[in-house]
Amino acid sequence: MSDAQQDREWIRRILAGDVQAERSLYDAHVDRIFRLACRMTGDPALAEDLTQDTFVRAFGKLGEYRGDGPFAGWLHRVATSVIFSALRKRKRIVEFEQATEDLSVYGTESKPGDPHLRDRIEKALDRLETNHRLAFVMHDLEGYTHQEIAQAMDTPVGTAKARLSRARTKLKSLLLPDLGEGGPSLEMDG
Amino acid sequence: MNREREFEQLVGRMRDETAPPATPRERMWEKIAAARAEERPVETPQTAVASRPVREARPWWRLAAAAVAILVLGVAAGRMLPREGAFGPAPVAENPVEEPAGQPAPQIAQAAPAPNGRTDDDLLYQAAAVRLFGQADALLTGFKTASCDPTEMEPVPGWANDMLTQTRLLLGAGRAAGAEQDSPLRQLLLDLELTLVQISGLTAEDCRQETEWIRAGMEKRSTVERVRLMAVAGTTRPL
Repeated sequence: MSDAQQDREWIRRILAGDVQAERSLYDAHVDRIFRLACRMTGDPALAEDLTQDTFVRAFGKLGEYRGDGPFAGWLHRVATSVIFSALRKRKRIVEFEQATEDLSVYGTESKPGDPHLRDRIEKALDRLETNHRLAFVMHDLEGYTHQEIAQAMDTPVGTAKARLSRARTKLKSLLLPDLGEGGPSLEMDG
Repeated sequence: MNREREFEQLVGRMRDETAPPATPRERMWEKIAAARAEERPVETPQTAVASRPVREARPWWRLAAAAVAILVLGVAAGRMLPREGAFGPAPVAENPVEEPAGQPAPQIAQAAPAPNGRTDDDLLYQAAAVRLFGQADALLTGFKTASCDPTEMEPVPGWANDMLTQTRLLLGAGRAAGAEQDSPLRQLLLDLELTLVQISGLTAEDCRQETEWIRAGMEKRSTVERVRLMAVAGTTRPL
């Protein structure tokens, strides 16, 4: 039985009230959703919340899945919606907090690796449009195919490719300013 | 060409630097299963009866709402009283109206200094703050474990908004009295204001996600614990 057939079987059982099938479907897809949420937010705790929310929403409206494409693509569309919504809210909350209080309690958790490089990378990723960032993260960091990205974004493959291309161009200009492409440099941001 | 190679190397490092941790499958599944169980209301006569005590076992919203109403009156009364001490001198009537003969003049609370040097205004401010923190404790403690069930969550933004008004009244009163900008009381009121702003903005559509956000913020700032400590401390000493 192929993965797609297995998904459809679990979905049929879930819709018939089989709770164990929910767990099976969850196990089959949770890693990719969690990793994507982590990469997009840079915050594992938030990624946990978003992954949970994605599955709760997906199970709740599973009846709307018509089976005319891979379930993984449909699930990723739900995840994308949840993640984008969280990113918008985080932006609003951070702006509010910056206006009202000391932000020193945030972002103080130490992480392994090169903090300078990570900081530059996170700043650069933050500067990308959310759709472009998603295309870059999915393709270049998580290894999704163009087809999968297009399904997750609910766009034609050409659009997904164009977003990836724009993301790469922008990242090059931000992270490799010394090689002559010009454009804004993160180093100039202090 | 060099540029492409360098970019590929950078992407490789990016992949490592931002690598997600292992997926916490079980922890997430427990929450998903709990949320799914909540969303599966089986309306049989037995479950309908069984569900009633659960709602009645959560009276904290009602307590908080009632207390907010009382607090509105308390703070409003405090702000309307003659000001003295920390709030400036009490106004003196230039043309006092004579009372009809035989009737005693109505008693008006005076902001006289208390034996410990604190004025009535100080005491009123403290009483209002202690009451606000007590009610905020009830609201936030309940909020930490509340579900997004519409019957439970629907009135919450309104109550949080009412409490937000009281918080801002106290912040304004403190500012008028020249309270220190970095005092623990003011910092806590600012934290509480932020939390209440977030709760008052809750929508049914994104309730689950927003509440998780708000709870995470409360956790980071230890808001509930600080509110509770201040509520207890304020009953025994000046804040």
